[in-house]
Amino acid sequence: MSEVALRLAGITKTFGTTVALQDVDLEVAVGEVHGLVGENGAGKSTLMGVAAGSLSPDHGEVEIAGHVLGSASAARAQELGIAVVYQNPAVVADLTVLENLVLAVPSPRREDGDDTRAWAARWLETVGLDLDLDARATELRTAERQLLEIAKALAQQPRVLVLDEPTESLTSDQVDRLFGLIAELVESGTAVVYISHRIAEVRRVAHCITTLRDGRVRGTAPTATLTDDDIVTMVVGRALSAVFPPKNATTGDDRVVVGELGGPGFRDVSLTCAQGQVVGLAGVEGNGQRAFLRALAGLNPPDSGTVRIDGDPVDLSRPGRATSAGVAYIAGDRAVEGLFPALSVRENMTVGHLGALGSGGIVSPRLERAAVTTGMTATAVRAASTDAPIGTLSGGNQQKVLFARAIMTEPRLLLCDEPTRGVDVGARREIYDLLRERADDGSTVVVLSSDAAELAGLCDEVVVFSGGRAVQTLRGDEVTEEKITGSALRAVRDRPTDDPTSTDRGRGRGARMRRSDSLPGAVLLLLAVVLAAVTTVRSPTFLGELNVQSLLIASAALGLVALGQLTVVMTGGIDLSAGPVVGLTVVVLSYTATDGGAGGAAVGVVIALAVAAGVGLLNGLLVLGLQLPPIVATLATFVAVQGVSLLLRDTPGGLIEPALMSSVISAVGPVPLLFVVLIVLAVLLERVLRNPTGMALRAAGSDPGAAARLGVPLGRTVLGAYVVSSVLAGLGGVVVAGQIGIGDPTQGVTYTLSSITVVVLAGASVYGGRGSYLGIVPGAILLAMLSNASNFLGLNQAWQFWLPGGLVLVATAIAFRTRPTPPQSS
Amino acid sequence: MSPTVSRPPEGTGSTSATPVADTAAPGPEVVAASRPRTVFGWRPSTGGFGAVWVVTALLFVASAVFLPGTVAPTALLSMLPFAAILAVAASGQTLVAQQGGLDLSAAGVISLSAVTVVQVSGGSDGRIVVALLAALAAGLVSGLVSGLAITRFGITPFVATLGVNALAQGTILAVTGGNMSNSVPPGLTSVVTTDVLGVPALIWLCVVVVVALALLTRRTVIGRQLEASGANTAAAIAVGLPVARLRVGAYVTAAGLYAVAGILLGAFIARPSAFQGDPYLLTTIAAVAVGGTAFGGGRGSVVATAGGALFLTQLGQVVLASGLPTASQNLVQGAVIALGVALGGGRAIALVRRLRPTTSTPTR
Repeated sequence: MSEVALRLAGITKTFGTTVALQDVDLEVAVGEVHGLVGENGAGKSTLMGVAAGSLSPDHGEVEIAGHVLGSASAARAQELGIAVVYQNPAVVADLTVLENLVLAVPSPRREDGDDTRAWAARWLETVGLDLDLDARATELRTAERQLLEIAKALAQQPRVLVLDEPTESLTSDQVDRLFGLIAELVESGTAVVYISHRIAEVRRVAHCITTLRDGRVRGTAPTATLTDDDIVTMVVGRALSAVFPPKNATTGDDRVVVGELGGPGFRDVSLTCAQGQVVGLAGVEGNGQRAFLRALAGLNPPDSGTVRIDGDPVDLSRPGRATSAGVAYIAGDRAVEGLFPALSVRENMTVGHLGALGSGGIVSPRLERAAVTTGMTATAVRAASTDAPIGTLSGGNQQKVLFARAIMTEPRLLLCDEPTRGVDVGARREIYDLLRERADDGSTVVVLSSDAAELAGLCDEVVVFSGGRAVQTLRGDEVTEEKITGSALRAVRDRPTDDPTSTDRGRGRGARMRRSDSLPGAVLLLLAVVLAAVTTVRSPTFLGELNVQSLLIASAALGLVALGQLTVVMTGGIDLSAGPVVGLTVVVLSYTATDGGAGGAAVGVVIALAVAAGVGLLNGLLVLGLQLPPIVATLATFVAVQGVSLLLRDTPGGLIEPALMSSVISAVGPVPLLFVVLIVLAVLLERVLRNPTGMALRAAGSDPGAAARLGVPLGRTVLGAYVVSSVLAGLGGVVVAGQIGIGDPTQGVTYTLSSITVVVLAGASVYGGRGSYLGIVPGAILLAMLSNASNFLGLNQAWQFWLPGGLVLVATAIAFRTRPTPPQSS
Repeated sequence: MSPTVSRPPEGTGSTSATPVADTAAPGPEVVAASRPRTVFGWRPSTGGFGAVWVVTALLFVASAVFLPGTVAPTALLSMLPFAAILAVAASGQTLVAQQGGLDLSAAGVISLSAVTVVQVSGGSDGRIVVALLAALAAGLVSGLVSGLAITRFGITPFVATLGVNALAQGTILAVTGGNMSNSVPPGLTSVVTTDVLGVPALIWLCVVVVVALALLTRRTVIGRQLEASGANTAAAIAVGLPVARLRVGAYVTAAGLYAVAGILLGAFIARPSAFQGDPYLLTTIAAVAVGGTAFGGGRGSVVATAGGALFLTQLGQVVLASGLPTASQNLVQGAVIALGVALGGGRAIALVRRLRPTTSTPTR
């Protein structure tokens, strides 16, 4: 064989007690497409995570283009020439299309000359994507996101390209185009690893195929020498028929009647399921089958049609209503929607049934124990104790606990999404038996699975979805793997529907402006102007030079602190210590900047800022090193820094050098120089936000998982943000010190809350990833003005609290309504 | 704050690609490790929440050895009422932490309720009942605003409670103008300071509140559902729990507890200032942290939080008695918060395990 582009040798990777990979060897030659096939959970994605440097193997070595990847580092692996197209695209939702491309390909490796936009547009065109470069990734459809992921990988011009299930959401035209691109790449000497569970696709594109099962390599052979049956046998590793329980010969009465049900992601679904039947839902991912199943569970409320169980209409507007109508749902993604990780096996099992396990709202320990014992026996859960945390169980046993939870309510309709995902082979059989037993006991069981063989073996009937509709129902002898797969694939090649979780809001110019980060700043500026006008009418001295000056100095101090706060908020954190750092700076200055004219003051300021930076460093280390939640870490430093200030000065004292004071209040006309500094800094930071450093910052806050896979140095970025925040808070402290002229330890604490208020008003997302430094300026002015103006208006001083408090609540509520929801577990 | 649920590699159900978020998905761990740990042969029944009592006991032993003055009956009698009041307020914070939130309105609501008692009663015994009802109502309304802001309008808990805190402070200023001339009705003060079995009645009241709340959270359907909603919101929704209603209930109950704490605090010190509650912002959070309730949501124990409150209050006494400047209390508190959260619950063990090679797992 020719030159090796990617070599994985003896890779072993365990997660706790689960062995994900065991002693895996894989070699991919230059100019070769290497297919990697295996079931869900066989270890394909874990293996590629190791190759891409985002997972660290327990043993073994990764070699890319002849260079050994020493320790797991996504950035280093990319440098060596590996690019990965992830099944779940590493596209950062809060960044634009252009920024996602730029972040993925660091500038030294970008052949764009001066025109980055043209470069980006070229790569989009290559994959056949027609998109506005400035569109935010949240606005993209699933398929567009997938193509962007492919464009990012191609733009890296990799030596090794890994494609992990790249075609799930693509149309056949798009798939053809992708395969064309792969052929071109291979010709030019790139090695490609193609991962898929679609055997037909792999056969079409791969020169040779490696099979993984249960974390081990089961064989590698040239594609031409393998039949489909050979591959299936290697993948499954057993005769299929033996695994499944016998099907139901007779059918009972009609139990569930669905009439023309439609909702987000599916429409016009009509079907009838008999009692005692196991009904499968099939289709290519994203064709409405999951949306439909979730609708039956009350998790995706339908907007038309009816569902009757035993003749009674069922309200599916929320899960609680579905549950009380006799529906039980077992989630497809256990970690996200099934398990309560902190709770015990017992608590996980009874959580949906507590009302029946006692009386008067009190849970009876005796009844609960009895119910748990029954559940444990019925599902044969193996656990050290019923009080063991659920996380200590194997995947199969976790799934059985969820099953016990569902059957405890004796449901009339049992819904099960991907019943055997992440479940080892042994436990599969038991879960199939359990589903069948439940049907025999009189429930109707509806199973959704992406594994056609599983549906074929388990189900009495299979309904195939395409484009959001139920296009075919297979019964009796028709229920075979070939028929299911064939039906799904033949039907699917019209455009897949979007999954119900993807947002598809207005894509026009107006819509984008409404979601723009600079809009809140403009609104704040308008509010400030209106407030100034109203106050001036009532009290003309408000716009007097003296008042304007003091107002702008106050805005400068607050604005500087808020710029720092925003930097941390951008990473998804919060800096509660900002206020006390302002106070600490004032106190330090009362020792270090007491004489020596301008020169002495400057030295003092540098020392004070260094002290502030130290606090930032401490914050960052607490968050990264001890893994404290940012709010807790900075709360601890909030208290401690205040203590240090009080230890240094228990009462105000220490006169600050007059030169510092005069430079703080120096002004051009009514505009203080420091206010100019604030604006310049805001503009600078806003520009940084658009360059790679800023993109890394936003990516770290928006989607740390994707950022890590893109090779963003998360630790350095977060640490840097905390240091920047503290230094800027220190600068704010310098302004305050210049104003009050004495070391007063109590100054500054209020800046924590007011800086957060400004950041929130300026429209930053507290979930990280979004915000505008420019918006901070009007925000700071408005907040400073609120307290100042209420004096002029003769308002009760209570308004100094009511106005900001009310504004914060209203502003965040509006932001929530007008913006795509934060990336929640979907 | 923002829970990062990065999708784990297929199938393994564990580990995320990011080195930062290890709390997102539960890794399949060793079953043996789940057996309750024993502390000096005593097996805490509530996984991880027993530790605070051990630490508190050690603190009292150390106090007795090094600063016997701090455990003299008079010293204890002056410390315990404040520990008890903190325990009640921090119980509220525990409910919020259990829902994955952080309540920054505790200080404002405590002050508001103390102020309401004074202003509504005008210091006269005849209006005690009205004043108490008004104070409680003020608390419940604050909690309702926070809860609805969070569940209906999708506002992050700390931002919502920050806003509510500002509204409460504004209201205090509006009704007092910044200083209060009246005191709490003397009748109320004499009730809470009445000697019952050797300690002020106030302490018994607080014990009753904490025990009742502990029973509510541990033994009732609602308590168990609250725990589940906090442990995994998406799963709680999927299993059909009324998560939004439960969550609003948690914030309302929490604010009600702050109001009770404010009433007791005002009554005990007789002449509260307009912002008497200010220190409670930090101390309630610290007590929760020391007690071992995780701020990520899920497991929580009000009893352990009460232990945390006792620990913190006594620690304050020790720092004072040792002759250190008052300000050094802040340093100690800061360290206690950081360490409490870093080492609380089972996290100490998890940290140690992460630092060690994963091969050897103890016990059995």
